[in-house]
Amino acid sequence: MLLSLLIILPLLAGLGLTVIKHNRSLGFVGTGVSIYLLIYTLFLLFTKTPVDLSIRFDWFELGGVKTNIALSLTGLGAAMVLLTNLVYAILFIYFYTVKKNYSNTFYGLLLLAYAGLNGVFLAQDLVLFYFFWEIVLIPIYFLIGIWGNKKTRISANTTFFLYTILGSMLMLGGIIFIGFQLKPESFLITDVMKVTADFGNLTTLAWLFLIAFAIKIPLFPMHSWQPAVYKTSPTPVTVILSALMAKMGLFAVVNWLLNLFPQICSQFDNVLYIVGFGLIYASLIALTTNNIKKIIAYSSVAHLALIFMSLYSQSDTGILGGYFQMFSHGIVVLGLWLSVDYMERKYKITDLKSIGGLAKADPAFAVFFTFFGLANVALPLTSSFIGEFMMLNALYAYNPILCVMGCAGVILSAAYTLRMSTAILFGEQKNIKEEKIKFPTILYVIFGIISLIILVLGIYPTIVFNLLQN
Amino acid sequence: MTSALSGIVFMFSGFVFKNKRHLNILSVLLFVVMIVSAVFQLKGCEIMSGKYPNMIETDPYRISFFIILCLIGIYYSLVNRYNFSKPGSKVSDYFALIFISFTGIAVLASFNNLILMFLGIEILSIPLYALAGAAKHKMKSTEAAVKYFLMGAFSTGIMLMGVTLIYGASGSFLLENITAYSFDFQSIYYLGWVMLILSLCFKVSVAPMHFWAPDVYDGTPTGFSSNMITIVKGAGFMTFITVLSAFKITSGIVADNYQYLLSFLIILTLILGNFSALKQTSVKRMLAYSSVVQAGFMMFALFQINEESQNALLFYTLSYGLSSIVLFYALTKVKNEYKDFHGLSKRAPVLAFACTVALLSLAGIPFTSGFLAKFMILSSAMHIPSNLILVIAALILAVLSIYYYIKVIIAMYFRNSNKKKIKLSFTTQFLLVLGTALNIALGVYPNLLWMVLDCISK
Repeated sequence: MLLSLLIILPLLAGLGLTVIKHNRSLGFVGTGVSIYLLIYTLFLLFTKTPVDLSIRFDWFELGGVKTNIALSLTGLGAAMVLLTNLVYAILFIYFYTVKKNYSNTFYGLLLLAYAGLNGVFLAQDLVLFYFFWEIVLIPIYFLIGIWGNKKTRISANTTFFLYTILGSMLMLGGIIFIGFQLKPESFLITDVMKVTADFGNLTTLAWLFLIAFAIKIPLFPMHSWQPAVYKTSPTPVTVILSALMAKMGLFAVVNWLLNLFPQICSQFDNVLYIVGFGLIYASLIALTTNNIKKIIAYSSVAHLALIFMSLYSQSDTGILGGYFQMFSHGIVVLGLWLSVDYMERKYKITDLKSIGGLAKADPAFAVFFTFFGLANVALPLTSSFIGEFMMLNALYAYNPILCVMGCAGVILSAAYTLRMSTAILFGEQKNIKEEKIKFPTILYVIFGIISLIILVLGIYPTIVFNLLQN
Repeated sequence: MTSALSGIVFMFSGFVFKNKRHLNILSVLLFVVMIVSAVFQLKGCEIMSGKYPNMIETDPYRISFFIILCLIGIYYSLVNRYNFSKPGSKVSDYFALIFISFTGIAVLASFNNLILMFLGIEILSIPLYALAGAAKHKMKSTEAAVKYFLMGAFSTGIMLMGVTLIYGASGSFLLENITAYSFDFQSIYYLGWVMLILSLCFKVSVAPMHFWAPDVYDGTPTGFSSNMITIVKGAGFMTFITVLSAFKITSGIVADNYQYLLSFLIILTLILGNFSALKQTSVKRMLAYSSVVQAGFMMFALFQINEESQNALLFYTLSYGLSSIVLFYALTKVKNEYKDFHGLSKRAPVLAFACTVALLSLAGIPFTSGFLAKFMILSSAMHIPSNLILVIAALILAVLSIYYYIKVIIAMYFRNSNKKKIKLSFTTQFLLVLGTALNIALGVYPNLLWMVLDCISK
């Protein structure tokens, strides 16, 4: 019962904000809900036993196969729920305080996506999971369509929607096959695992699920929707897309693909080579493009590809490292996108060439931006270092070629990140009118918190590891 | 019985009631009377069920289907209550025609005999030919009526031929005798069976017999095409599944052929329907083609006829009815083209919201009944392993359909227009919200429908 609050509260608040017409901005409702849920999640994780943290009801029955409303807060799911609530809380505080005039509907739709995300990470039933998986898409679709960049929003948004729906439809085909051909007792993950373990060759089925998840992550060659969408969507949505929705795909790989089709792991070697190629390819594009949003988007593609590879490295270190990196990447990317939003708002730039010498005028921001950049590169003492070290280590043991690909990606990531920060922060001053810019206090706090989390996890990663292992 | 009486009542009610509002109330009352009498029949009340040996039987599934169709009918006549007077002539005439076509549905819900099935289909269709041509002064409407009539007559001929051949082989019109007769690939019986299937495909507009459908649905006054697309199509499928369940397929070769035939029909319907709908510039025509596509999905229930697939078909009909009625209502308020929908979210927020949910339901997005309907109907076909490819092909083609559905959403929400606001009365808004809420409720908890039906039958 405790868990359903994580879904119901944002759902109700979101519906309320979407429907009610009110002239004053009601963004504080969203902020309140997210902060409350963050504290609530922490409270649940640290005071409750695993027995309290799962619920199960019967839902409906179809052809002798039951579906359940089954939620559970354990392992990676717990870490992801924590990440969701953390990201949402910081996001809402940031956008509420910088007073961008988003309407109430905007906050309402964000909250609806929030409910869906929490649902995806909690669901233990295949059909319920599919419900949440799809429902996240709808508010995001409207958010991009209504508030996105005027020029490209319709084309980018349509591509995004159709691409992801295509993946979902393939997954739906897989679900129907599992349910009505293999006939498990119910769609509960444990029951489904039983039948898929008994059944022989399920490669086709595994591919159906893999494509669906790969589109969401996105992995090369299904990534083509992503940069355009990241560029088009308003920043809060971009943050959700890259920090949380990409994690949905990876989480689904861990929780569903690896659990349901463990025997197929070893057949995916070729897939890993393609993903590795995609990693280098995305890094190279990030190195050559001048659009800041695009650089971060492609950097995201590269990092997620590395995580995906390590999940298939078949060693505990690699998988644990992958989990950790999923958490850490969410936080780092949040910092980077908020920095981009700050620059866009303050200096109206989206391009590397149009700005320079920001370090002199705005030193405080420069420090934070450099720090996030270094975290993106996975410098020791930042949280990314722990994850990447473990992942590369495991990949080396599994297949040295993949490890070389991964390392190349890491080196390239240093190159493009440093190129970006150098171009923005140093050199001649361009497009900056004032001499000294006052960095708002509230942003000190927000960026400070994000940096602190990155630093603490980099020095003392056990917090997250404990969470992952219980 | 009651439905026929209602038709007659309406024919004369035009003299008594001059006010449209009274006619509406009367129609709802008559629908309720029909439902009540159906419930009595379900409970085996002697007076209502009557005794017509070898003609009429009480089949709980079909009666509940009939009740659901009546409920959709109530919703339809309430939502469209101001649209009946649009085509021109007297409102009571149209109501009379609709109720007479419901008489046909009532016959179809209880036939036990192929002759009676034929009668039912004719009683259902003939009023519709008249309704299609209701806007007499419009060329398109007349064209629709003529086309519908010719095609309908043609398919009826094929159906009669099929029935005759079946009679020639088995010596009976009775469904139970037909079930007992085991047939073979060679006999004329087989030919009759195929003809029957094809002629029913005409009625439910499945490719390759769908060519009349877009023109007719497009040409008919919008208020009435919504009736044809939802209620009549549902009744057609009810007949289809009943007739096919009467044929017990015993030989392997016939079973294989049946499966190939069905797969071919489905895939052809989905491809033709989807690709034609993609190119349309008129929303009404797009919806007409999309109704062909939906019929293709409904065909999945026919692979293996058992309780599961029957229920799936019932659920699909209800879900499709709820969505289509809302969308066609929107068409009567806005004009037919995509560009007329521009900025609807500002001009009529409630209507735009209802349309969005309806479109998402047609597209099969979770939390709407459309998703569960698709899920159920595809899963009922999944007992045959080789159907996986067909199911996946259908789902991939469904992505195409989502493209043309979201084009409407894009027009409503993402594009601006400076047209006038559309005013809706409070009752209409309430009805639209009610339909949407029902759609979502069924999408979250489908057992609702079975609970209601259980309640009625006990």
